[in-house]
Amino acid sequence: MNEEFAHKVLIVDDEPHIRAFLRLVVGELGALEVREAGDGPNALLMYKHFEPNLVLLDVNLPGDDGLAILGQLRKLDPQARVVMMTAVASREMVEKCIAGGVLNYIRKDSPRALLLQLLRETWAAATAKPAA
Amino acid sequence: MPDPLPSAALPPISTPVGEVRFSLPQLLREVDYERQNSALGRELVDQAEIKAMLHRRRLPENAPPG
Repeated sequence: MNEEFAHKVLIVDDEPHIRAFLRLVVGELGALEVREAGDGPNALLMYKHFEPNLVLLDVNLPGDDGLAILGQLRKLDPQARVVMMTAVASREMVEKCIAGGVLNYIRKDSPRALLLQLLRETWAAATAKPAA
Repeated sequence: MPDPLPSAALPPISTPVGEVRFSLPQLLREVDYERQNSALGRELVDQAEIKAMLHRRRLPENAPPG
């Protein structure tokens, strides 16, 4: 049976209040352990040690942006499950992140109910076993 | 009957191109810049469009061979 939601979630966002909000959201979905990083280098370090099932990654980060961090995460773990959570939703950025293999690209200015629904659906789709 | 004005005094029918201010490479660079930075380039896509983009991306992976 699939987990209802990721047990271990890493939230990468430079804004503490957004991290706090997303922590509540994933907690509501059933995440048991949540860690936070405010920038790319910390996110990569934390990924290695925490080994999360899911990463929520912002695009606008100090230093390397989320797209660059996505590439570095992929090198670290090609199977990394990453959802972009951002207010930056230019067509170009969305296309690049999709090409980078993200599970979803969610606008964090979406209503809370939609965020919950999208994250739940994304996790279910990512962990669904293929039909026999 | 008065004489018609001499041709030199008449305004030109159309103004011929006297100079080119920007080269073609400059213009192309400008167009490229506009594409990346204009409202069109920064067009925000909504969640439904993102979903459609993700779906399109996954279709080739899931499509049956042949």
